[in-house]
Amino acid sequence: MSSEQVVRVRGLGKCYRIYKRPIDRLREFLSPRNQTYHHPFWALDDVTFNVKKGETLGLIGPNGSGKSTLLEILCGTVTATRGEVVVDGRIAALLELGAGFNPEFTGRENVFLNAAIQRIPKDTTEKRLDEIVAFSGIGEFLDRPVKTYSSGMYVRLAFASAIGMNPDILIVDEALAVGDIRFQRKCYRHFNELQARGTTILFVTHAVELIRAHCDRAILLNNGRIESIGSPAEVIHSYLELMFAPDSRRSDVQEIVEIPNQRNRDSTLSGDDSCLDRNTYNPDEYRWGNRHAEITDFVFMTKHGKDPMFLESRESIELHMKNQFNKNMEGLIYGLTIRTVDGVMVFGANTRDRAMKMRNHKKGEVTEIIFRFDLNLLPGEYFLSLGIAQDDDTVDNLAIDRRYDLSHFTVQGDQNDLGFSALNMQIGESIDPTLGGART
Amino acid sequence: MTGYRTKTEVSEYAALGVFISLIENRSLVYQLTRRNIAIRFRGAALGVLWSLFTPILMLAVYTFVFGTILEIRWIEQKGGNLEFATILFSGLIIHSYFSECLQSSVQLITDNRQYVKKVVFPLEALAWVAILTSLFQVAVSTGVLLLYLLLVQGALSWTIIFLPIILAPLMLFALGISWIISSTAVYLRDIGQLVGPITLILLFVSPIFYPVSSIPSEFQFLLYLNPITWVVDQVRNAMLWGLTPYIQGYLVYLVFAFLVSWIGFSVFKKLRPGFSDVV
Repeated sequence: MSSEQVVRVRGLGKCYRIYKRPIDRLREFLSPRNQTYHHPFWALDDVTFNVKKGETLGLIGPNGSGKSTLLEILCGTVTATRGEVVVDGRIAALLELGAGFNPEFTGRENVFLNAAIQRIPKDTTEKRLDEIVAFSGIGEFLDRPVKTYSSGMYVRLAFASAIGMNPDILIVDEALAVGDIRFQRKCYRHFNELQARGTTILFVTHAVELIRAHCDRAILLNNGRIESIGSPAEVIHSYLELMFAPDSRRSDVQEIVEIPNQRNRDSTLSGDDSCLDRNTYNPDEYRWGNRHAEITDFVFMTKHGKDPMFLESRESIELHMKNQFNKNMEGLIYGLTIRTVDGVMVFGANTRDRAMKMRNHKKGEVTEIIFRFDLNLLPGEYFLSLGIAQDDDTVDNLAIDRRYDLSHFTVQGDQNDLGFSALNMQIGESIDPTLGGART
Repeated sequence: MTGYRTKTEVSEYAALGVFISLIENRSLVYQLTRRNIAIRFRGAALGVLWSLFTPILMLAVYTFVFGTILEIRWIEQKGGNLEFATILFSGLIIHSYFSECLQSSVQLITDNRQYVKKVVFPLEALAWVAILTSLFQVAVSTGVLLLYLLLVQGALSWTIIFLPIILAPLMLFALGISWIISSTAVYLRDIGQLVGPITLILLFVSPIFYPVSSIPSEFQFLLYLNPITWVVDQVRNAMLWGLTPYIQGYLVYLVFAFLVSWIGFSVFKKLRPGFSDVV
């Protein structure tokens, strides 16, 4: 049952005809010899994938990559030019903020109207109404026309009424971004509940973290084609490559090398990459940049020694990062970030934001940057990213060598607290309840 | 192979699709129609009274111009201008219904573009909403006319029970035309410009201001090319002169109206997939 394919997409293509002038459309329409007056624009081209029942699939891609068109075709509102889509089950879609809401209608009427569009019987809607209202938190606004709503209220009611009808497939296009953080969290929490119920979810987002946290699989679309499909981690890497690599290509520097995937390293670029031999090295790191300088090694130094297998919570650490310069360089920026497994940033720092002026370097030089800090993290798994960048007039900050998730390290300790920051908290009890106000 | 399929879809172009489009979406059609009628009068201080005011005003003007100045008379007419007013009014009810259906069809899809692209919406149901919304005006005007007849004549003819039956084929006809106009107007905005003159022609080339018998017989066929001519005649028979409908003519008209609605539905279904690229 669980492996049942509820969405099947085969060789899907969507071509928009671009006419220079409106009259061209008519000329083509009336043309006796089927002469064409348009330029074809393929918003989607040869897209093929399946979605299993109960799966959560994330769609990511730059603006104009065809994400919304794909969702619209899945919903059946836009017709494909070629290819085939088979959808098995009832779809609820949030394609645009408040779409399908009639501004003159009250919130209550719109909930019923939305249900009627989906051919849900009235008594079913009545039964679910309380639940929908409670989830949306719309309160007494329910009986006011939705044109008086704030955009947040709009999307809250729209989302609540979409999921309130127990769809088989839920399709969400960035609409949720409008809600406040509390509501967003509520929605994403609700995703888990829907997943447990077997609802298939497809959503579009630009937030890499959401893909990582909620999706079973992800698709990267670029220029209407599937660039990458697979586990969230892989797809996010491809996405970051796509988003950041073209920037460096675009700059005028001639010697820019194609960003080699870390796994098929181009050894002519550098000497050894000693990072690979470190105990906490993460083979799934993602590396990009023009490599005018390279991070050739990193190491954690603790009181237990160099390059330990595990780090101790709250110990003092020195992190050394070794850099080799392949060109004469100036305007250098060094930085690091630490993230949780879910991709949440725990800490990030770089020399530019700290207003530090770093030395210029000549070709062939090798240097070391040292980060000294207390590891005030609770026990758990973390990812460390290191990077060298350069101030650049055209692209703000040019990636030289960025190694995303370079190190996957484990913090050990005996705390059983929740979260990730080690606040060194003491908990006590007083039998003299003055709330700290005894000393006046 | 191109296609979008869900596992529950019924045959697209079946003749019964005309009615399935209503039955499947009855709750939606009901809500939208009710709401359309409510919106029309929302905010107007006199509310529903406006739906009485306009036809009565037009009635006064037409009665004065055609009855008093031009002195047009019906064969069946026994009384004076007051009876002429009822004859005129009954014809105008039918014509304004039909022309309102045409006018509202022009922008039916383009005014609801949010339903085209962003929601999975049964667009074919919008034509039903349009013809049912317009029916409200018919009900109000007919009510006014019947009340007037009751006051003037002291009694109503029993044949008024045929009114809904006579109107049914006209609704089907309007529905078909509405599907055709609304779907083609998406691609050819020019159609909107044509609808105004056409409704005006329908008004004058019909037995509304003058009886069919008053024009030369070689031109009478022109009046019968007008789809509302037959309905206007039958409505007057039933409402004013106590005559039952002419059954053979009724059946022919019903079949014809049904064919138009079916063609309209098929045209709409055919053009529907391209809407989202154009609106």
